[in-house]
Amino acid sequence: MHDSGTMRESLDWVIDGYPDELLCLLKKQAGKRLPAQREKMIPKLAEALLRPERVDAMLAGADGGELALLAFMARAGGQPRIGAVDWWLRRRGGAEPSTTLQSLVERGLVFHVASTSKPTRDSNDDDAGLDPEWTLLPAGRLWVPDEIAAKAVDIEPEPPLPVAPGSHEKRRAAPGEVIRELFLLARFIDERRPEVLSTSRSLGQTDFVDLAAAVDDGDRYKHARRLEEAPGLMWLVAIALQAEVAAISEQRLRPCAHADEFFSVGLQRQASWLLDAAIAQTRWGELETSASVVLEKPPALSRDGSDLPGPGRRVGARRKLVDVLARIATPGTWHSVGAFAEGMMRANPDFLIRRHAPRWNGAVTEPEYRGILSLGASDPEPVGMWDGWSAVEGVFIEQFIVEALARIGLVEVGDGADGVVFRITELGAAALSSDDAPIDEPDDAPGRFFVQPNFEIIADGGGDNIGTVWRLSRVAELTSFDRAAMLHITQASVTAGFEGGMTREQITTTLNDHGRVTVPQNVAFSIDEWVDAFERYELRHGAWILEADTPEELDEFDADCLERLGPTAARVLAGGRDRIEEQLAERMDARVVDHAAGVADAFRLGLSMQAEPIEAKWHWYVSHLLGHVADLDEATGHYQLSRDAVRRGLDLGVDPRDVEGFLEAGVEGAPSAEQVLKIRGWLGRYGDAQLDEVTVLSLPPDAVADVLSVPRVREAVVGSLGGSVFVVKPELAEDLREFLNDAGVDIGAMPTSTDDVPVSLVQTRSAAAQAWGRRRWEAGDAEAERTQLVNDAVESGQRVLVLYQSVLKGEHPSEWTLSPRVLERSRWGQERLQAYCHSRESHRTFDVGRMDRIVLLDEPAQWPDDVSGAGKQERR
Amino acid sequence: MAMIKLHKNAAVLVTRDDDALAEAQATDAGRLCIGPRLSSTVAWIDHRRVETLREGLSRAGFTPRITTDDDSTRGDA
Repeated sequence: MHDSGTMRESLDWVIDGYPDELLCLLKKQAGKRLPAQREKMIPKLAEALLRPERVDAMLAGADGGELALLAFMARAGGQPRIGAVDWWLRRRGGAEPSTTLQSLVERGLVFHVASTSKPTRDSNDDDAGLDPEWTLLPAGRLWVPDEIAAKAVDIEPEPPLPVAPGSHEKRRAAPGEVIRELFLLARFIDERRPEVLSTSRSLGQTDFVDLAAAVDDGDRYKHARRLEEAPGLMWLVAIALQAEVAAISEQRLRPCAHADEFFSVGLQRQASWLLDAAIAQTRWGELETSASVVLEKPPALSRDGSDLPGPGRRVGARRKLVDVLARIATPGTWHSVGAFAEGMMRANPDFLIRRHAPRWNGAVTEPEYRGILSLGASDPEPVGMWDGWSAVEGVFIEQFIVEALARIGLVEVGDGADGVVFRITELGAAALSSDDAPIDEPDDAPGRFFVQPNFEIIADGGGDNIGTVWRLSRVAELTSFDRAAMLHITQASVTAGFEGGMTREQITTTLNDHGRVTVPQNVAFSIDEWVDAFERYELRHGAWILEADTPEELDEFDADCLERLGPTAARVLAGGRDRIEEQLAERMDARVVDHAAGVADAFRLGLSMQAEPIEAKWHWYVSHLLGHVADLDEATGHYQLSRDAVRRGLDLGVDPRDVEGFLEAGVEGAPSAEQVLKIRGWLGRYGDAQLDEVTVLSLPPDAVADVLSVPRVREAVVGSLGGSVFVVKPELAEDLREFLNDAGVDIGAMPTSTDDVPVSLVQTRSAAAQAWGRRRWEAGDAEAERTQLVNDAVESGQRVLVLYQSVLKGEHPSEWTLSPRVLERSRWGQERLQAYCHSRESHRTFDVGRMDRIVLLDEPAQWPDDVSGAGKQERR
Repeated sequence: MAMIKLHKNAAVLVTRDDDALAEAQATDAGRLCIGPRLSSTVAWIDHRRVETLREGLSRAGFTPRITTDDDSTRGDA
């Protein structure tokens, strides 16, 4: 083994004695595919070989174009891909790129590094699929040693960005404006978080469509009126997520705890924060919003791959773009975006999409972007890499400047003679600078706001007070936000603050410690009350409760997994659920009751509607619910369902749908049809039914045509019940009987039934049977018609059937038959009806406004003490 | 026969003090939705009527909060 010092001396001797020969050897070795260890040796040897005096001599022989190329290669990182170098040379013009490069390689200024990786099809790699026989240059990279690169950059410095000529109309220049927009967005999603994102979609840009639609509805969401610009909104959401002002949780956008810190720091720090977020965010793709190109995803098995930059590549591209911008743009000076794109092209053409080497197919063929098509007047067409820079990379650059940098306030954007122009602002110069510039710290002085006794807060809406407004908006409703921010403290807003994670102390501190004046006493008192109300009740669902008959039984379980609620009940902590289940599995006397599983087969229901709970299926709420709609027999433990009991439950406020579902699902097996009918009927599901006797005319079939051809018969007939049976107006029944008897269609004496009576009239005194032609009023009809109907009943001396709502709370409406006497109006305008109530057999006064339904009956009114109708003299 | 029951997906009302529980039980919604007590400050509630109870308590002037029992901490019930 040789000593390393001896090796170094030997190497120096070779380098000094045989530099040309060694260089020649290196050049040959460099172009080959070598083992990794030997490949690493080449740069080391080359660096050692290139002593300063030798570098100077070599560069002295290079012309201006070659020096510019070497400087370009140096600025591109020292090892540009051959495709990029070829593209750069072709744009510059002059000799064939292969000739220039061959000359540089021959002189040892540039080394060719063969690609050691296998060709791939899915990356943006100019080695992909290259056949060495068809290319003008072998695949791989070109490498310029650091000594040569440094000298070349000194000789050919990077040209500064030219100043855009002419005047410029400023379009967007509002440092800090994005902070306000983020503030509004954060407030918006805080208030509307359940509706912001669809829960059924995966994360991605499409989700923001829902958000945009929601924001568009500016009339409903007052804080979002200024966010209606959808592309900007999507960028804003992406930035909010990246800067952790917002977060996505359970498929919904939520304000992030980090937002407190974000809104509290100074503008300069916020700008730096947002610049980092704009560079690093992966949800926003600048090319995706371009109007000039369309992006295509390659078929899965395509060998061509795609040049579409992935999220990681876009992040790297933005970072390089910002580096170049900081290097070549002059703060405060207007530059053309197009000129900057050209500068970016000169500095690092591979920053977003790697250049492909031209192909040889009998002639040099321009490579094309893969997966990117131009949107022309006709169908989309491939975009060539030699001329497509402005349509692809140029768009990316412009989008980043206009959408990101300008929105953050790092540049001002305007329209100039050369198209879109921009100027780096003072804020931008600080944020883009790599120097450790002093960062403005948040102001520790009290926030500029005060709370008024009417629960309103007035705060300065300036950018440097936005942190205060943000904190206030978490406990008060933001009602307006402009130069001044107006907020209103309500119970709902304080409760929302609590639900957002604030504590009583934080709320108090926010309002007391940062305000200009002390919180008014009445406001402080109300807030205390609201806080008490919030802390009073907690409804916890999804709980696991372990219940035993004795405390000792409960003691047998792992106490670390339980939280004792009472002597015989304990909550199973989420982390201890598995352990408790294991312990339960070892016991014979354990039973699991899953409340979410419902109450199927929880009790038996007999024909007499008696419910017998099944012990093995017992839930406390089985007894609880049965207790609401049935009577408990203490002796047997059974529940007797009845119409009265169900009515009582409904009066208590039990939801009939709830009871119906419980009863029908809880019966073991399935309830019989009769039971279902009773359950539903008792719950009032069917409404009112009528079973009436009516006056019918039943004719021999042969007589139907002749009898009905007589006009007076048709006038008496109301309708057909099918065949030869017809319903007849009761008041014309007697006339009809006489006519038909006279006509030889004999009708017997008044029967009590229509059974086996060939021709008969059945007369009834049923009120419902007299429904033909009678008037009625229903709740929902005009109230004037109700008054008119009651007045008519009084005038005509007819009875009325009313559905009357009692003044007693909770009592159901009752149906009473009344004989009206006097309709009068009280001094307060209340309409009152004096009438005899046949249902209660007494004279009473009724409030007409409480009548939900009135039917004018054809029965004459009767007053037991005044049957003659003398009472009419008292009527109005 | 004695039996140990494990209730899964159950719902309970946790109150700050026993007066609060009594007050909740006295409301219309409380009569329908609140079941037997588990302790002086905790009672069963019908898991299908959590929202009904919340609305009822809200109408009574309170601002009950609904939580999901999925944390492993103790001392908050």
